[in-house]
Amino acid sequence: MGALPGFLEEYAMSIAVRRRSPAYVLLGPDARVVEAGGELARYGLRDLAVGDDVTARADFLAGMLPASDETIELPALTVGEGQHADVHIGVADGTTFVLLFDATARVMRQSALQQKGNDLDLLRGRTVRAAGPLPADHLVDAANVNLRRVAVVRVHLILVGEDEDEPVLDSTRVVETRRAQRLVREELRRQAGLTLETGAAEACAAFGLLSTTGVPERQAIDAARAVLAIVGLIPGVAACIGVASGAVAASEPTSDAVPIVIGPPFDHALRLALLVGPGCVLADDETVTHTQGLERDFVGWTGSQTGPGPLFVRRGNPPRHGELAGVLSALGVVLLEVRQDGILFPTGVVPDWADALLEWEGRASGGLRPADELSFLANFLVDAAEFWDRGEVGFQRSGIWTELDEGGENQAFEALALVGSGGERLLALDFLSEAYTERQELLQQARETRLSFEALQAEIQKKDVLLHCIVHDLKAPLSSIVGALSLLNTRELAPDKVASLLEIGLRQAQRQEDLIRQVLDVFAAEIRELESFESDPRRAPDLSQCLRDAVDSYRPAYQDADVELTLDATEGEMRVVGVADRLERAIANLLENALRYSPAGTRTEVAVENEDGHVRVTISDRGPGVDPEVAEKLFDRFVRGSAGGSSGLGLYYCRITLRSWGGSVGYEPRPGGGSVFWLRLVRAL
Amino acid sequence: MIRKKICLLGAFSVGKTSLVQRLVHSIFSERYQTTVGVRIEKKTLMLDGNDVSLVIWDLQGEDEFQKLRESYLRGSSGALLVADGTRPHTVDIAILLRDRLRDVCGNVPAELLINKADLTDEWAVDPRAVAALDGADSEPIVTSAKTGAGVEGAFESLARRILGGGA
Repeated sequence: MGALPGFLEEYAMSIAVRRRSPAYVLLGPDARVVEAGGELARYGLRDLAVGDDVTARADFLAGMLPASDETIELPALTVGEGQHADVHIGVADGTTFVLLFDATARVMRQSALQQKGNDLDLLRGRTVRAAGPLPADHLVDAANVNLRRVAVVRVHLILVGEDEDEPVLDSTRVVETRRAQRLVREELRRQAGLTLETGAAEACAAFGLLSTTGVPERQAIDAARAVLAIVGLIPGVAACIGVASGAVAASEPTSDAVPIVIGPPFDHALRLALLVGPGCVLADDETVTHTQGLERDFVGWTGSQTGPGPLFVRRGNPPRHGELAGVLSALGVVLLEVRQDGILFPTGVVPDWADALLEWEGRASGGLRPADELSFLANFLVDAAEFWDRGEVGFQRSGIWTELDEGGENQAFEALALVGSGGERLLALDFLSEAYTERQELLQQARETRLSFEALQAEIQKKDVLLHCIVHDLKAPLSSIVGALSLLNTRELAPDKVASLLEIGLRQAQRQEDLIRQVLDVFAAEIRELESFESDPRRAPDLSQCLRDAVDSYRPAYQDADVELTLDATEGEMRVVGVADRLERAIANLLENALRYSPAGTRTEVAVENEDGHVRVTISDRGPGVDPEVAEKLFDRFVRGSAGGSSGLGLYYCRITLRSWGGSVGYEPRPGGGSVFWLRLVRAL
Repeated sequence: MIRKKICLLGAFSVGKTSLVQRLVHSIFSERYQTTVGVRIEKKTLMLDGNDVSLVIWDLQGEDEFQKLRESYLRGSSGALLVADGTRPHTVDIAILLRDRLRDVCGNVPAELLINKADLTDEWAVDPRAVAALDGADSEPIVTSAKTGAGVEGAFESLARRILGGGA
């Protein structure tokens, strides 16, 4: 990987520097201050003034001046009460500089870890002694100690949030865990020559369980201490517990290991250890005194104050799956062991959320079963039983399901049926929150994209058909025009024939022009659909005038077709919401439509009637009417009747135009035969 | 009380969850929210004086991102196969899902719903043509989760067929 680009390097540096509270002092040849700045107060140099002798104010500089050309770094110097700094002293451009960076947090952390490391041997000794009264299978076999003493090292990396008392263990921060894993692995290899294997279970690997066996105990404890020191320095991974064993057989790491909790934050680490621990857990921290609460939460454990911190001893049988259960509990996952009778037995603490899913099978038995109403889990257990019966090590997921909680919120869950390496039948229940939301959002985006794609495809198909129809309609009159012109060009014709051919050509050209105008009208109307319109009665269009203009312009065509056209409208003004020229176009489209289907010798009537706050214009013809199947889609784009000569856009234009003004357009059969098309417009008041 | 499990099956975004929300909670949201996995709701219907409790499994829509798990269908007494009236290919998916339902549950009652009847401008499915498809159980029911049209009737119709068939 190459170096950072210049601009990015500058930015990264500025962040890194700011976080470390820098301060500087520039000095003359006599160690007197020439210039100073930054967070000097942090380092006990408040009110440092030009001309001051810096060595009189900063003991840590005594003997360090004058500086040599080679810059020296003094890490973790104590510069005040509980205050530590990394100090750099050097010369640049002939000026001596002292640069200070805050190191207090790092020093404190290292100090605490070192202290714990130093106490570890003593604690371990006390633990072994305290374990004396335990049942035989939990005792350390002293006779084996010298020759066969080996350890199991398990390192649980725990991610924490801003508040160190509240561990945050979510998948979004797995990267930090993985980074921690890598560093731990490298350190162990370097320190102890160990190669750690990541935990077998995928879930454990993701959240940082590392384990190895067959390690000499002394080496294991040193390694665990080193691991703690490393992990403590990783941002976002502020805690870890190292569980070092007592004596176990090299080839049989068993449950008689004695865990020693050595990592902060202590309460969480201790709880995890109690879940993990096989027989006894020694707390290495004097702050842990609340044994009562832990005894309540961890049934079967008894705490007693034997040293700086309490020793917890398990009186019952150690859980067979305690370690996995412990890790999963920390992740909010419930792990249950499944007995042959189908009863589920929790291997750790059952959280509140699981109450919605599980019911106690009688408190005395300590067993659980799916809640009566929980059909999903009951259904999955059928599949799970088949899986368990196969006995193959692995797991089977239920898939995600959601249930309404008491507050009416949907909560998401997933179950896993597991078969352990020892043939154990396990059921894990996971309460999904962020993971579910993330998955849903991703899926939602993918599907919305798919829906947009489908809608676009449908639109393109419609446009293709529309284009085909338009081309077809434009071609028909063009053929007539070409035919008429060809005849005029190739034959000597009588004057009356010439006139006839010219009239045909002209009529067809006009028809073609009308079609083109309609197409252009529609495209323009679609664009203008959201534009403003006139609703002020002083400027709103006069419907009466629009009707008269439209009827007058179509009267010659109706006369040619021998169809009577009548207008029954008031003489006075009738202002409606809309735009005059587009309203006239809409009326004209209905008149043209009526003419197209009206047989010769019939009548088309245009009438106006007032409705409450609206005006209704009707255009009634005595044509064949509209087929009911076609009527449903009559005002859709490019729906055409049987007569031809239409682009199928005229009625569509009416619909989108009227709708944009708050009006409407429709069709109904005319009693006695024929069609009634109507426009309903809002009165401009 | 009689208790029956039914499933809602169909392509994504046909309105399965909206139909259930309309029936159970009398609400409708314009916002499409995809279902991950299974949502389970309950609704009691009164049929001929008897209470029938439906345990409704609202299953995730099937597409290239999510597949139907056939184990979800186990124990179903019937199903509503939902298609979107504005997306003709969703009818094909509904019919394919009906076949898978029969593979798992046998010949249990299934109603085909053509949803989104409120979007008449964009309607692109002819219920009569759908009814003519080979092997259709019965006439499709046209529904609108938005207006509520046909929704309760569709669930009642399925429940009646389940009870009538002794499933």
